[in-house]
Amino acid sequence: MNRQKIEIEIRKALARITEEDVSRLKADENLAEVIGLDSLGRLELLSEVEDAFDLTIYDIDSEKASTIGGMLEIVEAALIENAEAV
Amino acid sequence: MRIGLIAMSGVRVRTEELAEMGVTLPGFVNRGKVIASLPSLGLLTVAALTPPDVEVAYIEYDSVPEDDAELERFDLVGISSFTARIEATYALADRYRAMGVPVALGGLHVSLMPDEARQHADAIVVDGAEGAWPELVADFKAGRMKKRYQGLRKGVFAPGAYVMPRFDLLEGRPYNRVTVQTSRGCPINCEFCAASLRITSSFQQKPVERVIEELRAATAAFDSPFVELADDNTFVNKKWGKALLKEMAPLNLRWFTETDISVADDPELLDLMAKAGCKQILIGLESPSEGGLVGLDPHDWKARRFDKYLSAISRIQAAGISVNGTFVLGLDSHTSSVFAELLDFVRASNLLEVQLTVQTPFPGTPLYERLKRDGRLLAERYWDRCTLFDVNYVPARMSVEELEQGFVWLAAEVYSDREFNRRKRHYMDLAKARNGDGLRSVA
Repeated sequence: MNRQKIEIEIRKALARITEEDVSRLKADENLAEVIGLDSLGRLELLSEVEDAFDLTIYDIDSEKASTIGGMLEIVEAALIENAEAV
Repeated sequence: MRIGLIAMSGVRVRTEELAEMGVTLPGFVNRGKVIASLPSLGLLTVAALTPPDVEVAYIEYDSVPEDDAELERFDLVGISSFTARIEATYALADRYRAMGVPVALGGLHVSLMPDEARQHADAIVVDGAEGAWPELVADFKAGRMKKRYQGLRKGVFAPGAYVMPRFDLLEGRPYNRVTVQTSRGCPINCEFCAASLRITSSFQQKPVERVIEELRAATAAFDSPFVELADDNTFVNKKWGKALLKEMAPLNLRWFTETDISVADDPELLDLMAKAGCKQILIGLESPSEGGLVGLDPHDWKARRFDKYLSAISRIQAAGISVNGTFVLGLDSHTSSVFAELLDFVRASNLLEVQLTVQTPFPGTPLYERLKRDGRLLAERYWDRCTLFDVNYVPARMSVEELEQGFVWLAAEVYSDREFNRRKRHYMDLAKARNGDGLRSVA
C-alpha cells in the first residue's frame, strides 16, 4: 500500500473519531492543538487505524500519534511488522 | 482601581531521583503536569465576585518576573495558593508588600493555616471566597480592610452567593483544558484528604442549569477544549448526576472528573456518562489490599468496597470510560511488601492510568494532627515537600528509606514502556469490543 492511500485511511479514521473536517490538516500539525485530540483520543485513533488496516500496532507510541505524519510512520512500521509476523 | 489576581501553579518533585524519573517516565508526573497547567477556577470566581467598576487582571505565576525584576503594579494583589507552593506565595506577597502594594491571600493552605499566612498578608480570606471577597474589596476601597475575612462554608451555590467564574479572562490564552466545578466537598472524608471538604461544612452541589451555563461559557473561548470537572467526588448523588449528564450530552464535550467506585454499581449512570462524553474518571483506590483501607475514612466506606474494586474497574472501562486509579503508599498498615502487591493489582486491574503518591500529611488534615501528636513528622515545616511524592513522616511499618526506595522501584515498573504499553493495548481492545469488532480478547 502506498503512502497516499495510507494517509487517506488515517484521515478517514481521524474524521470518524473526532467528527471534524480533517481534510485540510497538514501532516505535521499537532492534532491536540488544532482539533483537541488528547492522549485518550490518540489511543482511540490507533485502535481505529488497526481496524482500518486489519493490523496490530505493537509499539503503541501515542505521542508519535499526535500528528498525521507520525501516524503514517506508525502504520508503515506496523505493516512491515505484521507482514513479517505472518 | 485595579486588582492583580495571581494563580500559583507548578509543583516540583523535591527528591532528586524522583525528579529525574519524571523526565524519563512521563506517565509518572503526567497528572501533576495537567493539574499545574489548569487555570485557577478559584481566582476566576474571585474575579467574578469583584464589583464591575474594579478592573481585574488574571496572572499565572509563571509569568511573574523573577526576584530582582520589577513587578507589575496594582492597587491590590490577591494570591490563591496551595501547600506545595505556599513558600513561593509568601515570598511573592512579601515582595509586593515591600513595594507598598497590599496583598490578600486565600486558598486551601491559607484557610487551614491562617495564623501563618497572615504574617505575609494585609488580609486573608478563609474558606470560600463567596461571602468574603465582595466585603474585602468594599472595605479596601473605603480604606478599612480587615486582617481576616471569613468566607462561606455552606450555601456557596445558593442565589446571592453564587457567581459564574469569569471564564472570559481566559480568552486568547493557550489552555487546552478548562475547569468547571459542579460540587464542593466529599462525604467519604478520608483522613489524608486536603481537598475542598476542608473548606466546606457539608457536601454541596451546583444546580444542573448553572453547571450547563458554565460549561457553555467555559468552552466558548476555545477550540475543542477538554473539560475537567473540578470536583472531589462528582457522582455522590446519582439522581442529580443523571439529570446533569442528560443535559451535558448535547454539548458534545470530552471530559474528565473525579468520583468514587460506586459509579460502577449503576449501569444507567455509566451509560449516561459515556454518552455525555466522559472519557476518564479518577478514583482514589488508595491501597491494593482491604487492610490498607481500614480506618482510612470514618465509616470504612472504601474498605467495605475493596472486594469489588477489580470488577468495578472492569465495568467502568468496558463502558468506554478509562479509569485513572490513584494510590497512597505508606499508609499505616503498609509494609515493604505493598509495592509488589500494588504492581500485581495494577496488572490485574488493567487500569489505563495509574497515579502513585506517597501519603502526605497536609497541614490542617486529621492525618497531620495525628502524626504531629505522635511525633512522626520529619520536620516542623515542610510545605514545599507536600508534592505527593516526597516522604515527610515516619511510616508505621517500614522505614523512611524503604518507603522512598520502594516508591521509586514501583514507579519505574508501573510507568515503564512495557507496562504502559500493555495498559494502552487493553484500552484499545476495549474500544474495538465496543465497536463490535470482537476479534480481540479483552479479558
